[in-house]
Amino acid sequence: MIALRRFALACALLAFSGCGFLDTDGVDGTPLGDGLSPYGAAEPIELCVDGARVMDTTRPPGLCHAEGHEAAACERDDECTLPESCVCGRCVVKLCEFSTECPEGTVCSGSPRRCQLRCEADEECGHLGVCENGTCVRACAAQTQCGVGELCLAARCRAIACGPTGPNCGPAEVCTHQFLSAEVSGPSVVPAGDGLALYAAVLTDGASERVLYRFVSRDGLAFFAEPSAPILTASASGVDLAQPSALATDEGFLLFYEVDGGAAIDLAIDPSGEGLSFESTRVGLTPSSAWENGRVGAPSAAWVEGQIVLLYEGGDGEGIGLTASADGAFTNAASPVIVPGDLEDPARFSDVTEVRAPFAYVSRAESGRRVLRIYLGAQGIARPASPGGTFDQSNLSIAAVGAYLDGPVESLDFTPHPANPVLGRVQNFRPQDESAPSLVHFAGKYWLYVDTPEGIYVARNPAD
Amino acid sequence: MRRVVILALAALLLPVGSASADPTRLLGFGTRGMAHAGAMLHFDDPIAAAVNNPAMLAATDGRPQIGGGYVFARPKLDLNGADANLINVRAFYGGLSVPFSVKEWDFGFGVSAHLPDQFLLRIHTVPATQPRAVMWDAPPHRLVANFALAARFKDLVAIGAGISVFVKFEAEYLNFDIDATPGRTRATSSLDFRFPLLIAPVLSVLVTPTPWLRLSARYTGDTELSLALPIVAQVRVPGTTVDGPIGLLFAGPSIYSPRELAVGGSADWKKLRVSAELLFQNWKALDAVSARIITQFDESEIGVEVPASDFVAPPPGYKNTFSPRVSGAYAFDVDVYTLVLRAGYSFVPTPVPAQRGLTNFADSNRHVIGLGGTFEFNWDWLDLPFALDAGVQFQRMTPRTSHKDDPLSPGGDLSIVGMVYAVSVGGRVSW
Repeated sequence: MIALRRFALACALLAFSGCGFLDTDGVDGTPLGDGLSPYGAAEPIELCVDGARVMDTTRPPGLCHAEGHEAAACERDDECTLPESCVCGRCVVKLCEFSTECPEGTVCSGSPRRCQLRCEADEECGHLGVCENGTCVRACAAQTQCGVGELCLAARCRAIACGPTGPNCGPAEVCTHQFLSAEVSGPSVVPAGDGLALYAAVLTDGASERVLYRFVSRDGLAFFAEPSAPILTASASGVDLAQPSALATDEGFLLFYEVDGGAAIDLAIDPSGEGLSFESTRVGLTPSSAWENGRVGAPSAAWVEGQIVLLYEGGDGEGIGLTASADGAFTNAASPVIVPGDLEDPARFSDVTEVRAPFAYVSRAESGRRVLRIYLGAQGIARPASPGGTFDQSNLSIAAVGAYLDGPVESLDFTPHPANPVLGRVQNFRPQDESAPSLVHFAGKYWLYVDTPEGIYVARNPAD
Repeated sequence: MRRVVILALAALLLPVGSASADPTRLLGFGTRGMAHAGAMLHFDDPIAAAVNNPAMLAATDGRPQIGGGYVFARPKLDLNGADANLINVRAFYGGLSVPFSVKEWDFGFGVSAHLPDQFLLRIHTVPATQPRAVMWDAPPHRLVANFALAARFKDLVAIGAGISVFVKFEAEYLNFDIDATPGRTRATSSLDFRFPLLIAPVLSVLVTPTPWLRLSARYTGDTELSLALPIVAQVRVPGTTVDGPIGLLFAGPSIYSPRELAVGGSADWKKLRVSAELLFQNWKALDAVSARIITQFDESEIGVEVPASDFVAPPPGYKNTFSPRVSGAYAFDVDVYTLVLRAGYSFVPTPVPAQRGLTNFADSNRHVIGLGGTFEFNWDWLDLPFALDAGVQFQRMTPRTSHKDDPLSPGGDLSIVGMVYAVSVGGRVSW
């Protein structure tokens, strides 16, 4: 009997101690997110004015669609039924340049080029579709069987391009523009409510001067002009307005911007603090120091220690100036705080010849110490792994420098990031240009918006 | 169809060094180790003696003992003001001791094992720039298995010797086949692993000059489980010039426990036992903490330029530490039951230096307080004494901030603070 009890107790203890692998509690750790690096792949953002994407294109900007065939509202592509995509808040067949603009499962093809369902066999195209040249072509009996932006013609869903200069749509059809042909540059992104506001210069097709627009976004990727008209135009100040820098202060919303290619930096003020309409403008800075070589531009303002710190580009990439003022009366920096040689690093970033379009950002560590960071465009050779190779070419990348805010801002000594450039895109094994950075902390990440020849891109840190 | 084929021809993980306990050093082995804040050189815990002090296997009450239990710990640490998001420590533990005597010699054999219920070993290597609670992300998550023998002469001197056994991890090969057609990404892989043994020594001596006084010393070898994963990938992208081999070497430590020497003494007064220890840990021998990836390729051979450069982390610069520990136990007899109350305190200094450069290894000094008790059942009808143990532990990690010299050092100033809460229950039976 005792032996049985012992055996039972031993079994109970073994069962109690147990053995085996249970589910894990997940994965710990948080990728480094300090706004410096590493950034994930940069992606284009969508800028919309009156339902049309702002794009630098000369192609017909619209597609014909039947009257009464209205598009559904959307915020994301997955809210639309393929082949429709979400374009500026509407589910429509999307005009495109590259397949990277298209949702998963679609490719950019056809004439006009648009996002279409990709396929290898007819079975992938549904009972009304056939697979032709790698994309689905759908048969139709009624217009409602086609996507918005397609017409049911000769029993097939077809896309017909249209535009103000032609071609034109037929009777009972309307031309809905998807493109606003324009160039956008110099983003300045700030928090606005639950989302973001992006200020940028826009040069519309046929215009000779840039104007300033304000866009808002809830997700940081799709921005809508609000208001739909420019917030500052040439008639208000100067001729050509560019490189805005937005700054919210206790005294109102300030918008610094470059005038006439660097003839001056002006300042517009919105006392309401909303940054929607600006009642007054005044000259903030004109070139006067010798190192500025007759040009001041690309301003960036930050609120530091009870005063506005204004960074600007002097000359043609010769240096970055820093000036500070509590009342908005700025004096020119006697000498630049950053020159191209400051970023020279033979191992990582060499032959730096220009520094451009600075962006000021004040970070605060948990320790309480604050750092004034400057992000800027820098012309140089990033990581010349093979001299003479495809990467051994000078281009514009984003570099960063910083200084602890432990003294007067005018006397700060900036240290370059240990691994500049902090952002340098590569596509098809070739480095790509980017400049005019603007950083904002949003939705738990740092979002770095940059100007590129292909439009405004954004990269996030930590990467997804 | 655009297609990328990657064949990893040779992948070999090459851990070096030896295996030893690590979760048991952070929390103590088992329920009693937790209750005594890890100060366990002299407390009666035969099923843990193979870890704590093998010589104690020959100084038991003469009965074989088997037991086990469960350990749970919740590291609640803040890194730079945000939750470090650490995985809870969860493990079963168990042990066995078998004493026997020959004339004036007492002998004992023991086995102790700590078995996490989530993984045998967590390989967690992150970049050196990544802020991490370096003592709590991977080290608590590994198997510990110790075997020991002990001999005692005339109740005076006992010596114990043991081994800490661990399996290392070797990969014979990794094969990848990735179809990167736009819009249709598929991947397959096949892996082959082996698990050869690693062994580390555990030695101890126990001197009992009087029945109420015990003096001990224990030496435990170090553990360095480093990984080196060389991969040769055959890359081909149809339609481009890319066609050739690319070498990648992933290298970095995953587990490191320093060699350590513990010395101490205990004294009994009536039913109270108090113990004091000093633990030396040789952290200075650690030469790398973070992983790195080294690229090896011939650009002319693969037909494309790869703009990659290696990141070389500076030496970690860990410091040796001395950890003082005190603990006590008091026993009450109530009828046929015995209640033992346990408590302990340890001060565990951090070996991690202030982080002033590129690295972000976060750690700080810890104050460890353990509380617990044992309820022993001595029923005559069972003739099988058994006991239930319970223990809790509170570890306070003192606030620490490292100020970076460079304002743009990755992550900026590094701070850590927090608590570790732990609880354990267990049981054992003697016969």
